[in-house]
Amino acid sequence: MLKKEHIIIPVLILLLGIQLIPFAMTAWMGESIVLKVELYDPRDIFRGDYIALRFEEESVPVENVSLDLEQLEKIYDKKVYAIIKKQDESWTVVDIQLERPTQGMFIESRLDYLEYASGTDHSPSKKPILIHLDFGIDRFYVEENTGGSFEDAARDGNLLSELKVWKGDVVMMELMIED
Amino acid sequence: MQFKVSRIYKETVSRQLNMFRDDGLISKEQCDEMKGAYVIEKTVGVTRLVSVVGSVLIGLGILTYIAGNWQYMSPMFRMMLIVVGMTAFYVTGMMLDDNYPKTARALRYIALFIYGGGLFLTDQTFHLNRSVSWHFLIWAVGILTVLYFGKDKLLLYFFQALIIASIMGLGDSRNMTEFAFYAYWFVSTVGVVFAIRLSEESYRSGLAVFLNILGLFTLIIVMLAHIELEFVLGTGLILLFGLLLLFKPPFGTYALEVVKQSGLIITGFSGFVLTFADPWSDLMNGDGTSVSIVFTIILLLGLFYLVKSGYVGAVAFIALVILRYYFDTFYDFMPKSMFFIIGGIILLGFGVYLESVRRKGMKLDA
Repeated sequence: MLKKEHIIIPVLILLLGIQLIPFAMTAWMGESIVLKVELYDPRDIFRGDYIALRFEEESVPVENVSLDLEQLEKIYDKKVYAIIKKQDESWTVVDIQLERPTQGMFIESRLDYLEYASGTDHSPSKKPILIHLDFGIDRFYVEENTGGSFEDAARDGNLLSELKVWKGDVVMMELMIED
Repeated sequence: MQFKVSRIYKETVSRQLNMFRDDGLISKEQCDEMKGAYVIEKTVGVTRLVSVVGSVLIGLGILTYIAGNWQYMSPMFRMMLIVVGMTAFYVTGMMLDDNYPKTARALRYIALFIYGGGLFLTDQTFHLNRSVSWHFLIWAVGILTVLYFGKDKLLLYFFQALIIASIMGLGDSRNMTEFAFYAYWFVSTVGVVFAIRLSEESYRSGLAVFLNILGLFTLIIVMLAHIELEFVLGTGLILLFGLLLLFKPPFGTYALEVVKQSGLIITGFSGFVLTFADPWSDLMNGDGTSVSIVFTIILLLGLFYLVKSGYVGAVAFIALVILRYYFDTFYDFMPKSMFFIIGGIILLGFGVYLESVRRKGMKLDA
């Protein structure tokens, strides 16, 4: 009985591993990119203080994208792939694809919603202007009560985030204040 | 025959037995035999106490050191620390099983807490925003594997609490896809079924039964809220669940009192909520007052029947229903002083009724 109980340790480690390996792999193997950050700021009872944020690049102008409008409206809330490229020193989403790319840098995302010329109301006469993506990373945990300086930087548009991208997965590594 | 007693108790008894022996009431052999029946219960020795306090202090020191330097550790190092810490505590616990069973258990608990904490810390380390439900569920699965190897009431309760926490986390399912919601809900249901089977087969404790009921109850509530079922229908289903517990308990027959009282509370409250006219009006898209009154009469008859069959607690719900009608109907019309006096008289009346029912119940018991 006692001997058999040893099996519990590998089981627990395996369960923990399932929880973290994909992210650890991305953090380890991924390529670094830097994106501009916008934010707001709450708290989580189980995981401490965090900064809730989104990336400027999660909002993509419709004209940048090769998908046509009808296709866009069908894939609401579905998985899409944001193709990213470095242009003039900053990383930008240059296209959105439905099929998983076989090469190049891309982020697996969800199509959150479409923004129409006036608000998000949908009517046939209106055409979407922005595609809002969700990269699946929307918080950065910080030491308690230290979110302030980041908030100030974000308000001035000087907050950047270093991310690792690996086979479409993203992990946020650091928040940086631009000088 | 042996009695486990404290050292002081044994000394007192020995002194008295010696007196009986000296008076010739009992022989020397009888005296020794009687003394032998009193065994001093092992108490926590000073050495043991000191070692436990010592290890707690060391543990606290390590924990505060880790907490203080957490921010400066690399993600890999953090994860290694969690895995190593968990393994070390668990293995030490297993090694101490024979000689220090209680300490061994405590060390296992610490390992399981590190494991659970580790699940949440993964999120913190990689800045993820995964559903809290998911972590509670994986934590519960870990506990379940430990329960498989040995009976431990506390762990069973903890397992049940985690499943309930996981189901409650589902209540906040805004960021979840439909599929994910149903998948979690299904897995949580499996968890509750496991807990019911475990407690039926080998624990048979009242608290476990109560937690099982709470688990089923939260499962129902979360699903009803998710599918946004019409309020009357949803509450009606919950009422049926209460009635099921009252009259045909599907489990927990070894702690029947717990099941039945829970059934009474669930039935009483959902019934009380349905005495209001608004939900019925919503359901019928018209005036629901008459239907709600018919329902109230049926409910009151049912509650009186329950009181007759020995459920004294049902009186409280009868009082609640009548008082609420009294408040809603007369508050605006009657002079305030009169209103409160009559309200008080109604309450006192219920007090007298409750007392008489209780006495009758006691006579029946006798």
